[in-house]
Amino acid sequence: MAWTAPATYTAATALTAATMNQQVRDNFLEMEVADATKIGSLFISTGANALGERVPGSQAITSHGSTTSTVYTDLTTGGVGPTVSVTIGTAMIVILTCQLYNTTSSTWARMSYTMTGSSSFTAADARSIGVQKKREGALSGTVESVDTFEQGSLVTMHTGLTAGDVTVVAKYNASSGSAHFQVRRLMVIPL
Amino acid sequence: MAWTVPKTWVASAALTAAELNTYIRDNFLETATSKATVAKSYFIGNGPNQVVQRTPQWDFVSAQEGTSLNYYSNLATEGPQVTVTTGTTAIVFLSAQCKENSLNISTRMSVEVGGASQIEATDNYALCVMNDNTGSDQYWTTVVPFGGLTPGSNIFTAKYRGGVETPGSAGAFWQVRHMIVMPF
Repeated sequence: MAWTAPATYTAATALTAATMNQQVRDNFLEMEVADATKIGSLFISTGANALGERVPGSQAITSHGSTTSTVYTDLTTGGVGPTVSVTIGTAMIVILTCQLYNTTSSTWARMSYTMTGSSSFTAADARSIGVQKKREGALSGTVESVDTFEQGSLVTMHTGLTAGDVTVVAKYNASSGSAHFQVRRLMVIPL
Repeated sequence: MAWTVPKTWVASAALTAAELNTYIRDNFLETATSKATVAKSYFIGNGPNQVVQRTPQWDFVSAQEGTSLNYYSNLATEGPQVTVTTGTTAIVFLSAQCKENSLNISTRMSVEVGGASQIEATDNYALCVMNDNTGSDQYWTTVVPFGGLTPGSNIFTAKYRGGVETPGSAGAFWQVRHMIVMPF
């Protein structure tokens, strides 16, 4: 069934079962409350007079990990991911948050993500969060460890996707030196 | 009242007030339109055939204020702070212009949750920026998906600390401090 524009009723016109089924039953079945199955889900328009339920996904991995790879890869230590699997429409919002640093001056630590499933793409600097090591070496006075993390986020959006099930996995690299990461969060809001 | 799966109507069957109340009145009362009470809200699934209204909140403190402490506390002007009705999750956006008087020391802005939940501010939820040029500001954002909240009225308050203690005078400063909380 599908949504039908609500009828304008007129006096002395018989109210039929067919009218009730189309105008009441079938229209109710197109509403968000009929579609609701999960806690914490969103209702997204999928076109004219149509809604779909979308369930955001997120994962956090707090353990410390590192890599010396100059191409995006899983961490050598600290575990793969985070990983999020969701059902998308034709768009989604991705949020990366991480504590990160590199041990070598003027080098980058970057966190990005790959996606596989109904749509796919690989990790890239254009969709990464990264910091460039600002200093190294011993310093006089009161300073923090040369290996102090910085924490921030990337928020980005993808459109023109193919609707269906996807899996998003965080990936990491170092421009050189050793890149370190902890408290790694990935959230996907499907639209 | 609650949602009832819409009835399939049959020709020649009597249409009763009870049926109209169950299948039309009560079902309409479960829709987002019926539950909408506050502008700029959105609607979240709350289980089978249930939706709830959720309203995001934003607060902002413009003043530049600092701390000499290396543990989380308030600045001279507490906040930003918002009170939000949440389910078990929320997304918190923290943004600020940060400055540290000393080279190679960090500034950290985190969030504490009170009310229905009790969650202390920690580095895990923090906007953490390392000063690489004495006296210069940096403007960053961090986004924290909060899980494990106790559903109900939750109070989100920004808290601050320096990377090291600087006894006698503030070393870490923040201004143009934003917080947005999107409840789920």
